[in-house]
Amino acid sequence: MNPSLDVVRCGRERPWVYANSGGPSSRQRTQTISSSILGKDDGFVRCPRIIRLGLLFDETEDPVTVLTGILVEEGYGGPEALRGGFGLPEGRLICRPRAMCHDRLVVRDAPRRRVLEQALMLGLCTDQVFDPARPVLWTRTSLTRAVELFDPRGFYA
Amino acid sequence: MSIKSFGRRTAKAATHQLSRLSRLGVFGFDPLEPLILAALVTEDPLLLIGPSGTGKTFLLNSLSEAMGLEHRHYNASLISFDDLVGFPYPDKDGAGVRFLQTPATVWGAKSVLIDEISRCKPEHQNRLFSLVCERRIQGVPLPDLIYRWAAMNPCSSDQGGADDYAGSEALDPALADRFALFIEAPDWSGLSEAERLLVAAPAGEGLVTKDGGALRRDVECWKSSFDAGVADCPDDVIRYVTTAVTALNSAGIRISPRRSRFMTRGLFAASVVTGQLSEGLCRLLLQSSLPQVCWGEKPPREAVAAAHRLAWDVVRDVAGSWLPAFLAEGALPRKLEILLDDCRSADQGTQAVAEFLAMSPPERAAAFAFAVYPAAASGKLPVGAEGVNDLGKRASPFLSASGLVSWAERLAEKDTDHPDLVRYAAALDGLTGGRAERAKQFFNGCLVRKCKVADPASLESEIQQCVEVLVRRGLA
Repeated sequence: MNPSLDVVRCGRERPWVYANSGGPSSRQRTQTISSSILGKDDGFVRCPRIIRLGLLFDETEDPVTVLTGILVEEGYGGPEALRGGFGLPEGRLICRPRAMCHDRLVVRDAPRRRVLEQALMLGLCTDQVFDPARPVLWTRTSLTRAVELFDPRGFYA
Repeated sequence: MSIKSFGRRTAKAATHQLSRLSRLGVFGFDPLEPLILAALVTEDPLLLIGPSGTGKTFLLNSLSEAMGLEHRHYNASLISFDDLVGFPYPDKDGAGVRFLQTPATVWGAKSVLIDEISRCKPEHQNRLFSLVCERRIQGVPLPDLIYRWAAMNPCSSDQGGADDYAGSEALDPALADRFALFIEAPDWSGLSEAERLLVAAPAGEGLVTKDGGALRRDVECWKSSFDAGVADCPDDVIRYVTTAVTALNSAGIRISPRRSRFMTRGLFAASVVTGQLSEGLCRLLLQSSLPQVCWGEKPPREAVAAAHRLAWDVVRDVAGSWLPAFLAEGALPRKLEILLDDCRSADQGTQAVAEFLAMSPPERAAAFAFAVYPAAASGKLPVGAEGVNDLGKRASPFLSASGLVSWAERLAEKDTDHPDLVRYAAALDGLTGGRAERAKQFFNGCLVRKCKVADPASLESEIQQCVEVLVRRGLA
């Protein structure tokens, strides 16, 4: 043990003090900042969250193969055919990746309709934008994204 | 006057200029040759920077020998002022002071090489200042002096690695700015196989460089063309330089107005020497005109490349005239208006956004992205999917900010706030409604991203004006 960190007894209010521990306590201050204009439903600027998306596949599975299989079993001709079966948001939305995501929909267990709906919307997302006018693209990257979609229209209030 | 007509007039001189330095026995400088020859034409000060043993001194001494110049070679780390001016003694009538001249004093020299300029004492650096920029010493003009050259090793760093030059100090920016060009001498790894063989061969060691006066005659020929044309410098040269300088300054890479003139002269002279204004020549000149190398800074390569691309596009007059105007515009709301009014395709918009984000200081790029990304994500801007993604990546950390900020608190202080938070709070004072919410969010992002904003109130005002532009046009 480093002798400079030896503990000595002291009769004052604190029963233990660390002697010779290197001068006054650190003057480094820290503060946590956490604020977002996205997902805000009050105040002047409102960019409400529309939906959270994220699918969880078994590690051994290829997401595109799994989704294509479900698609065929449910009688759809292709990803584009899903558009008629689900109500998509009308306009383009801000898409923000979720770094810590523990609530993904487990593809193996979840209702297939919910899985297909999420897969459809993920296929319409790029890194930063959800665009219902773009083709539905299913790739490993697009299907394994976890994102949140926000309505940008209230930003300019 | 167009550069093409100059090219024709000087074509004859240019046809036999390749590897001119190689003919003097100086190898490895071929890619830089147009600029080195241009410095002989403009007679503007030239600084060579490179590791030891890369031939900097040899090159400059060889040039003076080939040109037949009365030359002085001083080592700045050992120099005493008496070496330069000679020993002072009073006039016969006692009314003034004269200097006892020796073969080493600077009087009468046509070219001066100040070697190891980064190793001399600060007071000597100040004396060399007037020699380099005014052709004067002790206030006395040196009418014969034409060429002022210097050489130095790269600046030492605090880290002191194996390739670190202890004692090679950063050059004073004011002195550095007096040099027109900064030629970085290539090390062994930068030489071709053929050049390595030529460098390693010991033939010619110690001989005086002679080329029968060929270099001197060519320089006289080029100089005649240069002098005839420099007062009516080709538009392409001026437009390239002004656009590039504006872009570099916008990117936080300071280029002085004086340097812009050096650059124009250097580029025009180099185009006279080579017979054309090529993209490679422009890029070479731009890369060799950045004084930051004298104090050990390396300007971001992407920003320099973006400035070159923009300036070269201006010379070629591509993408209409709006893209250079967009990139050169300093005010963010005006920049947005140019994008909205003049951009004709999503691809052009994407290119404009990418170049702007690459060459702008982080806080300005973030402010623009923060203000326009929601509109771009809604499909209201003439920007393609990639451009929207670029804006989104830049804006996201500011739309949602989360992290730990830290600061040092002085012993006499207690319960302080982050110094930047205090400054940002002052900029938020008096703001209301959505404007206040946006501004607060943006500055929170700045704190978390450690993105320094020099003038928070001004930047916030620009964000708000961008918002107003979008609202006014029904794009919000």
